[in-house]
Amino acid sequence: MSARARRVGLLVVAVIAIAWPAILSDYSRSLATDGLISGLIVLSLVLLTGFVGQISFCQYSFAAVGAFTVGSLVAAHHWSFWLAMPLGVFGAAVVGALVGIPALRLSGLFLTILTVAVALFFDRFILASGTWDAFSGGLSSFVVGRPSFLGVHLDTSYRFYLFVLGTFSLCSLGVWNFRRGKTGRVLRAIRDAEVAASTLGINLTAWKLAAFATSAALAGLAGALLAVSIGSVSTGGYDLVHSLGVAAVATVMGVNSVASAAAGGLFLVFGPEILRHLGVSSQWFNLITGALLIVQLIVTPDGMVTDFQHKLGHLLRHRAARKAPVPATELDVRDDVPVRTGVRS
Amino acid sequence: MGSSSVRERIAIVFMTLSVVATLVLGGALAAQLGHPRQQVVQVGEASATSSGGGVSAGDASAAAPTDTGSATAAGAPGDAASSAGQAASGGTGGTGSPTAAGSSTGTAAGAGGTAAGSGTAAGAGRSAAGRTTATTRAPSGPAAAAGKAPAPGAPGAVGDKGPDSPDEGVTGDFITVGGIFDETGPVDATVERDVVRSYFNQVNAAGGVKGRKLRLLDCDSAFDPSRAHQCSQRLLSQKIMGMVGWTSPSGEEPETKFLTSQGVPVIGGLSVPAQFQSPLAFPTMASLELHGTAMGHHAKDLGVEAPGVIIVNVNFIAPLKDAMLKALQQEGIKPVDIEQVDITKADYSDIIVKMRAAGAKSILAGLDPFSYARMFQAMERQNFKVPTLGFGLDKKSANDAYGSFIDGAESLIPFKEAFDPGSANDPDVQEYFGAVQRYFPNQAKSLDVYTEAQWVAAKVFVEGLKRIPGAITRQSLVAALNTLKDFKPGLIPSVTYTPGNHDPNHCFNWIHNVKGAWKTYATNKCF
Amino acid sequence: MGLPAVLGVNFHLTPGYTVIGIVLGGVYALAAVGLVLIYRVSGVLNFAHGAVAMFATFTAYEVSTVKGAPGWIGAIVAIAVGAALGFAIEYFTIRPLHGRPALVKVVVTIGWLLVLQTAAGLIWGATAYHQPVRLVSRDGFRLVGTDVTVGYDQLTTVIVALIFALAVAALLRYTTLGNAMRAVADNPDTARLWGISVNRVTAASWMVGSAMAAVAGVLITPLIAFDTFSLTVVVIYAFTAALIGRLSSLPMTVVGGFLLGLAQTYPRMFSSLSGTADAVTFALVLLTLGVLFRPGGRKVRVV
Repeated sequence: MSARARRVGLLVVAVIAIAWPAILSDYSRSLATDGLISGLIVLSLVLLTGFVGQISFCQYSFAAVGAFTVGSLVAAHHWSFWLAMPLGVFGAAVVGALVGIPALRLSGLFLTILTVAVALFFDRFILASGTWDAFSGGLSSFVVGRPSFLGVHLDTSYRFYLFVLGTFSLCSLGVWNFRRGKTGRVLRAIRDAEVAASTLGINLTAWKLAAFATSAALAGLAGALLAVSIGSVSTGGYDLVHSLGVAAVATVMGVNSVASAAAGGLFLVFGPEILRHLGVSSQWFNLITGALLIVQLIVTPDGMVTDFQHKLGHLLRHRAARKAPVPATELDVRDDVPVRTGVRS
Repeated sequence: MGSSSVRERIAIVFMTLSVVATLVLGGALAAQLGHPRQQVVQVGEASATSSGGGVSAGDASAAAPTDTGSATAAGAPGDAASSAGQAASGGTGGTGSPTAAGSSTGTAAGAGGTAAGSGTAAGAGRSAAGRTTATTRAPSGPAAAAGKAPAPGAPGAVGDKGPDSPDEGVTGDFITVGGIFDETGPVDATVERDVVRSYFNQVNAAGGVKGRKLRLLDCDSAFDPSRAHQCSQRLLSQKIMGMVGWTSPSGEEPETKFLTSQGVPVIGGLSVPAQFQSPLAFPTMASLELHGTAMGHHAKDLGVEAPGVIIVNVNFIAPLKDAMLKALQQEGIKPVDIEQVDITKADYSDIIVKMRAAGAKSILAGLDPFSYARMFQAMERQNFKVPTLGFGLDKKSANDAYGSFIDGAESLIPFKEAFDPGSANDPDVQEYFGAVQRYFPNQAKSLDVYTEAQWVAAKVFVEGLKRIPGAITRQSLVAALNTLKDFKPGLIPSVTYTPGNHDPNHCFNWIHNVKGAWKTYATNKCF
Repeated sequence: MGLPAVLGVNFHLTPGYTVIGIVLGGVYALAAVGLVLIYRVSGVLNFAHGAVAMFATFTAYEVSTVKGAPGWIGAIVAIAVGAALGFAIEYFTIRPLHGRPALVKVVVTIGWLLVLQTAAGLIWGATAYHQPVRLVSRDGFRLVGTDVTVGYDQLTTVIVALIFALAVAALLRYTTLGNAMRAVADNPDTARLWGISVNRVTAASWMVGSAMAAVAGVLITPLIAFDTFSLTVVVIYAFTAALIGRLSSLPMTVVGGFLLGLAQTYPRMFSSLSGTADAVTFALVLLTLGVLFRPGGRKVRVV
């Protein structure tokens, strides 16, 4: 997509995102907030898969690190949210790096198994009562109040929504910039040709670990925000099942484009809501997601959002080309190179 | 492998459809969200969920005696509004969860049908095979509503209706309350929801309260605390007066705190600690901590020796465990082993073997009904028959799965044991069973101690409503509830609430299982 | 409770716990056998294996418990449904993905997992208590030397797991289909050159594997909870069992299952926490992956 079209699009989206919720109900705003927080987790997957080409099924475990750090420090030790949250994010990053270490040697399928094992381990052992009650709250939950940001107490749903929107936008921008930037493009290229990468003198290990750590940090941030959004942190919301769900939606939307983060998050939240308004049992949402996942992988393998962006881009480029031929200045690295991981195809 | 151009075309069509669908639905949703309209739903919505199965035979919107009739179904025929839906959106993991996707509750087929309800719409409305959305009720005959009123509770005074407060769930036609229930997932609380609805249906059939019908909006928290929170917010946005009879083990503790902080009264529930810590919370069951204390002391009466303790790892059992251990200590009983299990633990053989090896001569347990089933099955398999005392053992549908080792098991209940054959002639028990049988017969065997708590909650709520002298608001409800002194809702000796925090229920009945039947052998054990 | 409540040394529990562990391992082994067959031949880790088993078992439930037919008829129906589901998954959603990386196919099976679980929940009720189909009696016998009673149904699980493993191993070694499967597993392109219909062989592996999943489901559900998600959890442990068996052979998978069952049971001797089994499982996974992928070691063939 041309830079101008993209800027216009972003502006429109920004205006809608800021202005529209102002007239919605509290409930819708809280849904939108949760959608953006889920979007952060999808973003963490975009980052990870985009750079390392791996799907992770334990993002909610990293989110749990962030959430429980905030929960235990704020509720039990009365820390300020602004101190607890960075610590939670940092903790998540450390855990992410730890998970990344074995990931360095594993190929796609086995990394998948590892992340599943991590998710189970986290939810059923670390967060189980008796193991580390100071962190997990044992059998009771941590209650967390809303913080104040720059003097503004974030207790109303609109204010909190704007705060989350800002955070999400910043993170999205960061990821997008990084991808577009030189390092990002190089990293994406090495995803598929590791031998070439090492000849370029790139320290693959460091970059991969960094990717895991950053992805986990994003998820941890989402967890911290979730703690504040819900108002309490209890075990039960961070299990394998949630991680699988978010990975499924991320794949459906397309892990190679940053826009799918917002799309995915909102889909996760508003999908069931729409179903409810139609009078359909919202159990169907899971079914629909599963079916979409299957269909999408066969028909639009890059993900719905990514594919859509490409088609739109082609469309606009054709129209532009017809108007006036413009030499291609931007090195347009295809970011839809399929993830090639295992030996077997 | 199809040709790629065909695939291209399919892809384009698929995407276009998705985009169009999203825009259309998004637009429709936007219109909705901006102005959440007051959903007009007929009382007694059907539920499309699981076990409870059965379509709710809601009573038809009987022509309310005073009302200008059927302004209820009022609305437009097109008003198929869902409402009764639950929010299970859970932005966090709505998908993925295999079980947890909120189930829905059906839409009440708004269908214009006005009036002419009959008190026994029950029979008419019931359709076969659950799982569909509400049927339209057979508008049978004239408003014979009054004639069939089974409830001893008097209908609201015909004349004095009082003004509406729509922001708090009181409209001209309805008083709306909410409830969060774990309807899908490892726990099935649809029975608690349906018990509350049974009572409401019964009251509505007799004319309602203060000229209005009662209705319960439910929301599925699917054993996920973040869903529970979504449910709170959703119910708030749907304008409820308060929570009545809710049962959500996953999220009741934090949501009680949240809702009471928003000024919403909370009546009934699982007696989690937070419900004893707010003047807006009105629990109807003894606190779980008290259950633990009672169990510990009762163990002494039973002559329990060398107990093995098994507790399930859910977040509201904590106070029970600590209180029980403390009471045991006071009685000089030392557990030989204390085991903790996950609610999904499939096989209890290892625990039973360990207990036996540790020299356990009895078992004290705090589990959910289906974990009990697996525990008893393991006990039977390992032939480890020892005196067993457990809290919440009397759920009939689970008893079928317990096998023969339930015989002789001990339990306790802070209510009258409804399944005791000796209670069969008790009018309160008859009313309780009768209502459930009439409106939700599929749920009749899933009743247990928790459903009794929510039945009492529903009764207490209605009594509170009746005592409101003027306008029905949350505040006036709370004030009215605080006037309850020695109120006898049945199933429990009496309920008294005074301003401040509430804790009305301190006494237990000891029950034990005799060849499959639960019998009460001691009453009024208070702590 | 920060520390395990019972740190006492309970070694005298060992014989009993060994038996319990093996029985548990039998469950995992039975669930894993079909999984490993599918993986070896088609290279896809079927996340939906448990869901297929669950769905097939529910059809057995429908036929036997709801409609009243005898148990073995229900079992036959389940096997048919399982095979049909396996075929459908392979034909409609895996085959079109030919040439795509294996991970993509795995994600497709996750989609199936969601679809099947939700469908079963919608049809039969997501949380209602369902009486499992009992093919074998629950009576048991006490093992000499321990004080543990083993039920015939539990024993059947172990025996069937062993039979399946041996049967599949024999199939792979001695039959034409088996040879074809091994050829496809090694290198599908070469196999094609030899005139083997890769498509048909792959479909056959899915059908056989899923049929075995159905049998596993019917046998296992009386031992665990019969609902829409428990079997999926079991299958995840079955993955681990397969992994411990180095994903290389069926008999090794069964051994891996037993090892995992023991590893999940023994910790209870020392700890009263609810999560110890998972901690041990995780450690085992790390260990196995570390050994499988150690630097300098022979890299395990992905197939």
